Amino acid sequence: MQLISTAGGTLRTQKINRIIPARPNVWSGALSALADLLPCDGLRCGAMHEILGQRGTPPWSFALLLAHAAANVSPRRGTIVWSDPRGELNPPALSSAIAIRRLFLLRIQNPSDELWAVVQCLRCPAVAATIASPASLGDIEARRLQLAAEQGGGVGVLIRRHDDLARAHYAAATRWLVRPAPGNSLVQRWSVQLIHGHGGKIGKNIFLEICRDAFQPDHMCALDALADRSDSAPPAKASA
Amino acid sequence: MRLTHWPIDRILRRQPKLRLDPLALIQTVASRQIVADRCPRAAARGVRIGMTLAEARALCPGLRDLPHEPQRDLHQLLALGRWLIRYAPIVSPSPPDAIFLDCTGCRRLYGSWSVLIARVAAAMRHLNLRARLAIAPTPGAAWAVAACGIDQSIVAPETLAETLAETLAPFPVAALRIDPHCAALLRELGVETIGQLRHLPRQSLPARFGSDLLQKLDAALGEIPEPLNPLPHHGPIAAFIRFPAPIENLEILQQAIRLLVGGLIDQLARRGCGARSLQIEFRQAHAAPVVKTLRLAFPSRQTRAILNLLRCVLETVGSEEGFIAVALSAPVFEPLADAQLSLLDQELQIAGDELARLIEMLSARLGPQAIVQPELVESHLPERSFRRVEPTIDPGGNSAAATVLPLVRPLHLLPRPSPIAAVVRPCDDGVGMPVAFTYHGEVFRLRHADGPERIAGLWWEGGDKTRDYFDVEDETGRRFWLFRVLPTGHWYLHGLFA
Repeated sequence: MQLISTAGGTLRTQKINRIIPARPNVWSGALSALADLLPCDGLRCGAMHEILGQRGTPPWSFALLLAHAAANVSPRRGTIVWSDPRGELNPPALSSAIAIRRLFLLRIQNPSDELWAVVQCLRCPAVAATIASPASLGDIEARRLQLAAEQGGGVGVLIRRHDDLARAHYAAATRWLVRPAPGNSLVQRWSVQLIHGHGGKIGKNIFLEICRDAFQPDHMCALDALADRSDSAPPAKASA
Repeated sequence: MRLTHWPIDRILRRQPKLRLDPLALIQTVASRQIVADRCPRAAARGVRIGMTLAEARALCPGLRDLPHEPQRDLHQLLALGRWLIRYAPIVSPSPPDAIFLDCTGCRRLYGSWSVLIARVAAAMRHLNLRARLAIAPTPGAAWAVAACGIDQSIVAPETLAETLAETLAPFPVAALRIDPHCAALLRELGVETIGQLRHLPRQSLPARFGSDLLQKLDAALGEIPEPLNPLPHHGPIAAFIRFPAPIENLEILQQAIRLLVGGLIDQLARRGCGARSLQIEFRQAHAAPVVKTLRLAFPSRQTRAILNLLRCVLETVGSEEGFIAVALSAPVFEPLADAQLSLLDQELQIAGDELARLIEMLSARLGPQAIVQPELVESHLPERSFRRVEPTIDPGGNSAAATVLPLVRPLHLLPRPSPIAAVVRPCDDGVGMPVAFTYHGEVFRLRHADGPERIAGLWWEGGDKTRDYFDVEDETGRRFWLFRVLPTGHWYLHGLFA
């Protein structure tokens, strides 16, 4: 079965099982503002997604949110691979968000070996999401990753620095810019902007909130604006 | 070979400290505790097999007792039998305490029978096992001589049946391994020795004493054969290929590896096993061999999968002068059962297989540390609250429920806490909240700080540094996890809420 869409002025066809629908499965309820940003056909599987963060605040929580959405699509693909060459990921912090038994860590120091391993993980049909933060990425490498993701059908998440944006090569279906926003003692906030993605609401800023009780996607909340929110009010828990 | 005190020797061999005290093995029969075996020290004090524990304690006040474990004795006897395969090709343990070694044809390896028997006796002495040894033409005769004759006596295997009968004639009837009741009955009737038994009319014996007696007698004298039940011998699973000249061409090496894998898989298939680990060794003429070890997620004997993995290994191996030989072995292998694909969970199973292939490929090319899995550990110290373990495949996925930690922990934890300079709000006791800190030359002004969360150090390991953790946010919304070491007052950055 194929889906025909006219996003971006061109007629495109896509296999239906390669798509995480925008609603209601992925980000409904409290996260519907985030789903509104997405292109009309949702977050694409079998593609790379790039998250740009600022120095000192790698946008790992948002990467985890994308990976969590991808892992929930099919029971066959439950595995998440996180490339963590310096051993900085703290698995207990995400044990409440994902089943830690399905998380694999890549610890490869050599960048070219790391890229090879990430390509192999993207190609594996059992892996739902592969998260990597490559130090540098050329045109050819970006295309290699994109082709591997298409072959495997999983989601590839690249975490990169926003400073590299001007000279960055990319071959990603969506690019997100994630910046920290002032929160309060109970709530941590980020501003999330879609900066590339055919058919999505490009340039629109939304706010993502995490209740600090525990990191869980259903304790996250996406808001269009912060104007009507007092600083002290904790966010409503999502019903999803 | 008869191990005269096997149960006690086995335990003393395992726990040499027990040699210091008199020791008895106790068997519980109904409610009575009976001595099943005892050590020489206890025997010297008068403790005998068959007496109750209370009597034994009365004779020998410091007596230690352990339970008698016949199953474990049997298990260890089989292990000893496997060890003895080095002396003779066919070894057959005969529980509870005898081992037959079929040394037919071994004489020319040792020169003479006395050398063989002396070597086995020396090995038993070295293992601290008391044993009586004998060589005889039949198992029955060997047992009889070992039980009742002089230790290490040899009845030459070429001995004629008549001579053998004469040798066995003075031994008591019990030496024929017959039922104790039957032996007691014979003794009651005045038939003490094997010689006397042979003089009785053969036809009347089965009716009186059962058919077993006559069979044992004939087997001991070699008139009917007595088959031994040998222990199976498993050699290592390995294949080897030597080249006439040093080879560096990858295609030829691949061809050689294909031949080796074919040989290895034949050996695995014959044993119904699959390899869990493979070791490949490339030998060079003037340098140390290059050894690579592969681990497989599941036991496997699929030619294609193994060849693919070895191809990954071959890419990482290089030599200037070429290789003169390649050896492939499977150090770890496990029985491989034919698995049945289930109808409903088939997808999960396929996914598990694909994941296994991925893990094998990554660890074959980049080493076993390339892909790991986190495992939560119960510890308050953040850096010790998980460890990285070898990946295991869990196709069900949801069987291990996620442990929900009620604590706030950062996603990004620095491998080593970084020292920072912090400005602290004035406070009476000098342990105030941080208001700003400097890290790598950048100043972070904090909007608010949560804490402290106090985590005590591991005083039992000598690290008594208690830390006060603060969850802080700077003016731009970046969140950090700082701590102050209480005794020193130094500040460190430990993580980022990324």
